[in-house]
Amino acid sequence: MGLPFALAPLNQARVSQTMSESLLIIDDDIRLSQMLVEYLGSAGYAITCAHTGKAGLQLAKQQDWSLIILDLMLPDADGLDLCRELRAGSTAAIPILMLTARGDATDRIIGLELGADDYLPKPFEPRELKARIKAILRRGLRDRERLPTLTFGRLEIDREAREIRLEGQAREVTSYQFDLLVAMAERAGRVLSREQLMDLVKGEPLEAFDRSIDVHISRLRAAIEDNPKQPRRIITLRGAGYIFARSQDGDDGL
Amino acid sequence: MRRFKQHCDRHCEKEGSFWRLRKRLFWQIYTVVVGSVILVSILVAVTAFHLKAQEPKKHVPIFPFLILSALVVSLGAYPISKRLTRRLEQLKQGVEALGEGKLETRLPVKGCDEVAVLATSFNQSAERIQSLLQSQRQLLANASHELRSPLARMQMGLAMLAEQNDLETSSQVLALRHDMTELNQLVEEILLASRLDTLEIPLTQQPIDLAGLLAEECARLDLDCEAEAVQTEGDSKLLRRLIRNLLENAKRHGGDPIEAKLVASSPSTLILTISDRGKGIPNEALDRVFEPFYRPAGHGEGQGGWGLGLSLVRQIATRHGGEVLCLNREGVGTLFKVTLPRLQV
Repeated sequence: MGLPFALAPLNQARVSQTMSESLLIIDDDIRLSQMLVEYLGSAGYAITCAHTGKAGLQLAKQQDWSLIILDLMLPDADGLDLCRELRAGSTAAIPILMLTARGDATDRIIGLELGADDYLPKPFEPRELKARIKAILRRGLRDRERLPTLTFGRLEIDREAREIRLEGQAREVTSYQFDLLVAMAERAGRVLSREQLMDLVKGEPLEAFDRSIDVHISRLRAAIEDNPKQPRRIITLRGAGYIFARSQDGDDGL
Repeated sequence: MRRFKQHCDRHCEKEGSFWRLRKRLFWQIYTVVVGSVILVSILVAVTAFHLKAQEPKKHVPIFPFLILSALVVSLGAYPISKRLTRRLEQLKQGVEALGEGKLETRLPVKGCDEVAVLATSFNQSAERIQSLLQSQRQLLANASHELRSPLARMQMGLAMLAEQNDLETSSQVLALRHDMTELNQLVEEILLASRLDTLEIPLTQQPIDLAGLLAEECARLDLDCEAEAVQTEGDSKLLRRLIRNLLENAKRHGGDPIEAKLVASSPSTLILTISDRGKGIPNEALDRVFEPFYRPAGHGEGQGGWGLGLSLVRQIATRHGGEVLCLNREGVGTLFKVTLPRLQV
């Protein structure tokens, strides 16, 4: 049921918007940066490279970048420190996409805590990078006051606009179902019983023998799952309740 | 400990080499034994003369004297042998500890005898083993890091080439991409294994909803699971990998139906079992499946080795204060049983 929607072409309508976006790449791998310039350049972005943390910080302050792509491993600086510095001062509103190395002692979640908007483990599929860039740019500049959008693979839950998007396309659900989804997504990876879910989402009167949660869940599945018969995002644990998967789509959670 | 070592080094090396020490030890023992014998003989002789002088006709009691002399000799030898055996016992414990993998074990070096020399060479060997292992780990970690950069570029280059020439779905590109993913995974696993080996790097300690993780991973592979809502404490990414590796292993090497079960076995422990109905594993190989890159006899290149998957499972379980066992099921099939500490909510 949800399948034809999910396979819709990737954001064709948005391409024109990205034509003039300027990106700053801070990465010490010069050859990889050159390839990225070529690759992302052909997608319509204007790319500038810095190969040290110092140069990167300087460049970042000179211009209003749409996005900074920051490598965690730099020869002269720790990417996390740099991220913290970028978050202070004039560059605070520029979104940051952090490139991390997988299997490292540094937890990539730390990057997010320090104010990176997204992360991508190296080595990555270039298409994946392009998709992440698009998603971040679509969200626009950071705003500390706003509740950040929750992203799970191709699924975005915009708590401010109260909108669910799958690959950038809005999916219609009722207000109650949206609250239900947010309640689960904010507790991703945890088993939530029906009672807990009903407590979390007040607003509809409880019924004595309430299976209405199940109905709402199946509506939600129809809206956000590629194949509602084999759910990957909202998983049932028999006899215990529901789990909103922490790792979805390409993100393998490792 | 170090002070003792220096102390001994100073003394021992100044005096010369090992044979001198031996000679010294020999003379020590020799003096004690000969001294005791002479002492006892004199004692016996004096007493005997004394008795003879008092009562020349009376028979001299030999046996009590002999017993007395034996007592004196053993009294003299007791502290020496006691000291020697106690230190030998220490040495034995040290060697056993090293054998169990406690590479930081060092022995106190006391005195300047053979045991002290032995303890010194034990410490040197332990030091050497530790530094060798350390440098091997470092090599692994650095090599994996360095391997990653060219891999990232290759992946990038391939993707660009394929996109430009519309070859994204050609079998060669797909095969290359698959190989590259495999290589990436291997590099990452080696890096992770060396990281888990390094006890100095602490794990993150968070409460983890293991049932949620299991359900998520089972859904990925379209498997069913039965789970009680239990929690443990640790690193969620590592525990996810433990579960995924076991499930993928069951899928690849075992056979359907695969069952995953998570139960609280006691207030403080939980048990995760993943079982299949495959061919099973020969009894003698049950423990060896956890060795890195183990390949059971008769497995050809085509079926692939076992990689680092199960070895990582064991490392992760151990680092979380648990253990993993591989058992043969009744009938046919294999069962992996992971025991982990349970977090009380």
